[in-house]
Amino acid sequence: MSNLMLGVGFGLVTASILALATVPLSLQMSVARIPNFAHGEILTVGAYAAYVVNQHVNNIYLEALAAALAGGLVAYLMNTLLLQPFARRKPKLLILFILTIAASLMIQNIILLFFTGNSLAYHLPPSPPHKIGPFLLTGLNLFTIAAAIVVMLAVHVLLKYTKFGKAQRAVADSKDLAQVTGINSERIVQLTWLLDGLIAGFAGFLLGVSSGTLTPTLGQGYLLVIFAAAILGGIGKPYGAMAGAVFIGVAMEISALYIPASYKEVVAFGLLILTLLLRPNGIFAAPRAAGAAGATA
Amino acid sequence: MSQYVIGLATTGVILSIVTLALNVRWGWAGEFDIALFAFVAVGAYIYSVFTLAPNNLPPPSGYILGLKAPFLVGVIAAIVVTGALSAAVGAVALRKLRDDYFGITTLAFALILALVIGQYTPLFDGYEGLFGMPQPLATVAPFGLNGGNFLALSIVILVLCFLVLQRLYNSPFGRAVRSVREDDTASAAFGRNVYVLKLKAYILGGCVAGLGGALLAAYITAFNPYGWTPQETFLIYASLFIGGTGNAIGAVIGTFFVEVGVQEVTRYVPQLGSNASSSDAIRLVLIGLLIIAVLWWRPQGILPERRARDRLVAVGAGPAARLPALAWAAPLGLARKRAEPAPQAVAAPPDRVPAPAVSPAAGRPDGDDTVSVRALQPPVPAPGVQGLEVTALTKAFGGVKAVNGATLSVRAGSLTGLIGPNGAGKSTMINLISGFESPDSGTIMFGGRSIAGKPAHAISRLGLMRSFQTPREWPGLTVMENMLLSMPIAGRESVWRGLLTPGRLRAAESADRVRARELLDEVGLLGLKDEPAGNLSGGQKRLLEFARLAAAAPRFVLLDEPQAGVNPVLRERMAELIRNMVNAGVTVLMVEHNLAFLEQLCDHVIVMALGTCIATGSMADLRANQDVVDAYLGQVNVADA
Repeated sequence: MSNLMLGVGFGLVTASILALATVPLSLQMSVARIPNFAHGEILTVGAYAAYVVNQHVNNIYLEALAAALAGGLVAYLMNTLLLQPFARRKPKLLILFILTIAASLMIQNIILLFFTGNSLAYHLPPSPPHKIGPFLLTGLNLFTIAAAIVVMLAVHVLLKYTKFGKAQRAVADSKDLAQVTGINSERIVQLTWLLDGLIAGFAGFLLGVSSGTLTPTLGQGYLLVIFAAAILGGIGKPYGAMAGAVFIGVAMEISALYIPASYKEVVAFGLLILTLLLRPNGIFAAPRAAGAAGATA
Repeated sequence: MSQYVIGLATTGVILSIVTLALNVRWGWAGEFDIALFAFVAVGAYIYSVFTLAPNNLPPPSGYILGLKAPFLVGVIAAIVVTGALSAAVGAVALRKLRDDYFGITTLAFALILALVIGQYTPLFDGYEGLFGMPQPLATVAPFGLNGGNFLALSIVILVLCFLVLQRLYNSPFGRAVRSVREDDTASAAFGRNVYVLKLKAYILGGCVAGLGGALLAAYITAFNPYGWTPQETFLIYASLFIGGTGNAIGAVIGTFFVEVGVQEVTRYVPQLGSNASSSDAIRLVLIGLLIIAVLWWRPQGILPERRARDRLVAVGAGPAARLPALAWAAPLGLARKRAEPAPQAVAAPPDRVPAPAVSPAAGRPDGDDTVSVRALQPPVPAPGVQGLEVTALTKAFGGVKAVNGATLSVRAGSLTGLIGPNGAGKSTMINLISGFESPDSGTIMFGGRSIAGKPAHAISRLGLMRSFQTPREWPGLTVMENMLLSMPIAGRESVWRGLLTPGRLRAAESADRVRARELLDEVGLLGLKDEPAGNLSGGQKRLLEFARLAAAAPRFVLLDEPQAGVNPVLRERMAELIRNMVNAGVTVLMVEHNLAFLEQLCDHVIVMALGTCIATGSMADLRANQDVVDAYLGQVNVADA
């Protein structure tokens, strides 16, 4: 039992990072409608930006800020320089998907070029574990969970109570309809990418902290787990994405208690495949699969 | 040749085979498969465990089999196993998934496979991998000592592979697979089982990938899980994009460019500081840029997909003997001549048989390469006229009951209109009858059998076909290919027949081609037969749709707003085409908003509102019906005034 609770504790940490990585992907995929293969690289960029700061000062807030800014910059540029020009030509969805794959290839290898493929690590003050209720968590673990809660609340406020959030929901519903009602859809998409990058970059920093070492494939290795959480929760549903992240995170950590830990990703990938086959619109949606006939209307 | 050059060439040749595999999946079928290299790896592993000596590694190391089988057995085993694995993966992943989700699913599959192979050592010795596989012909003259023999063998296999795939690409099977890539809804509407076609292409691609993997293992003589990542698949995609998606020669050129050319060039980039991976990194950044540049400036690649040329093969017996019974399209030429005074044509008796031989090409600018076979076209009665009975049909989307207990019947041989305000459920009704949606409850009887809930392609094969509000052609295929794809299939799309008896298939198809030219001539599109259908104008697409329906020779046709987006001149033409369809014995149910057009054509009209059928009768009856006026006609009359 106590082992199980430890697993739940680690699961919550994993879930917090996963939620921070998943919510922006889900938002972006509902607003800009691009399955972003380079999403993992935004996390990687965040992690490496924090590393650069970490080489000079040892301040966890500055590192987090650098990670968020770097992630935001990369996501914004990726949209502005690459995706938007193509999107104006109204290509097939898969072409945009393939472009993000090219972007992923480039970002990953630019990092490889500058930081080599060697494993790097942050210099962080030792963070001994505390016993909190049934869980055994370090200060960094607690920081991660607290940060996830704060960011999620901020996203909630942004979507629910600001004009930007309203416009974003309008664009997600129909880009063209939003455009004719006076919303600058392209601008909203741009800002969504920026927001996506800010949160994902920060998530990358926490991922780097939790995994201990940085490599240029840090984020990519995590990409499908993020997709699993996003699709499980239903694309475009931020709260679904949070729930999906908690579910996947806890499922992975608990499974690690019963099967070799190296197989825990298999659990996430298996859940991803099952979700896509049984509930492609997420577990909170009706189980009706999107058929081909919708296009005939 | 130095050993180095031979090595480069061998790599290029083997990876070309892998690119050909991707060309089947992505180039032919449009399947965005990210697992490709996982299949290459499986092929490599299967070849290895078949050809290696029995395992005597100390546990936990080890590998299965160890049969010490000869090269050819190993290769065949690799092909068979990857084919079977493709069938299993495809059978799951190709079920009703969006294209991008399909890609993600295949990636998840590839990563699971990589994890299991890496972790579970008794299978293929985990991350250690396998090594010491025998390379065939390694020590035989003439070039054996530096790998020349194996290069020669690889080239032979590449050429064989190329020829086999080209044969299939040009076969009716290949054409059907490409139609699925272009518009799978249209393929289903014309009787293609989209799922099975996609699965066949996926398996075929998997077999070729397995062959490539086997050769790779034989060439490197070692294989481990580090050698294949999703990145390897993306490099193959880059090769195909650059060479030309859908073009097999382009695929080979692209492979040599990306996998050999770019690699060699970046080898000369000096190492950056102590970064041992710098030249690799630069190479991959460059390839990322190349993908983007190609998609921006030349999305079709260096060598674009070849356009199918329409050729007739001389057949001994002549085409007339096997022309299918396609009755109703025959009067088209005649009808066009008498299109001017449209109204009195309404009174034409349904059994009117047109005079067959009218000088067809006269005054037509596009009649240059017409085959004059019109005279061979006897008026044939339609095969079995059939009606339709729909009872208490219901379909809900979420909380919206689009069709709510609708009951209607269409008399065999009639031309019936279906009208109603927007949102009445007309389009859903058409989708339900044609099998593009499956009803929640209720029955649909066609020709004495229940078709409710049957898949679209099965209903289409029963002779119940449909058109779409916006014409759906296969845009990347030529007008002639569009016509051929609309003809009854008659077992011609078998992979084996395409592979083994292509000549006989071509001869059998010649009659279809003659027929297609004739029908295209009737609608004035013959001059455009080798043009991609996507380049036609809206009106031409509509005409092509009618010609395709004529080619398909259905017994019952559902027309979904055939007048939408059609100009007045063409409108008259459409009326004639529809009337001729009915005169030839085809039952027609037509959704239309143009009431004058309906009144002119239909003796019987069904009115739908709020998901049910509220009235039927002639337009005059309906005008007198207060419910109908309230629900629909009243509004229209006001709007018209």
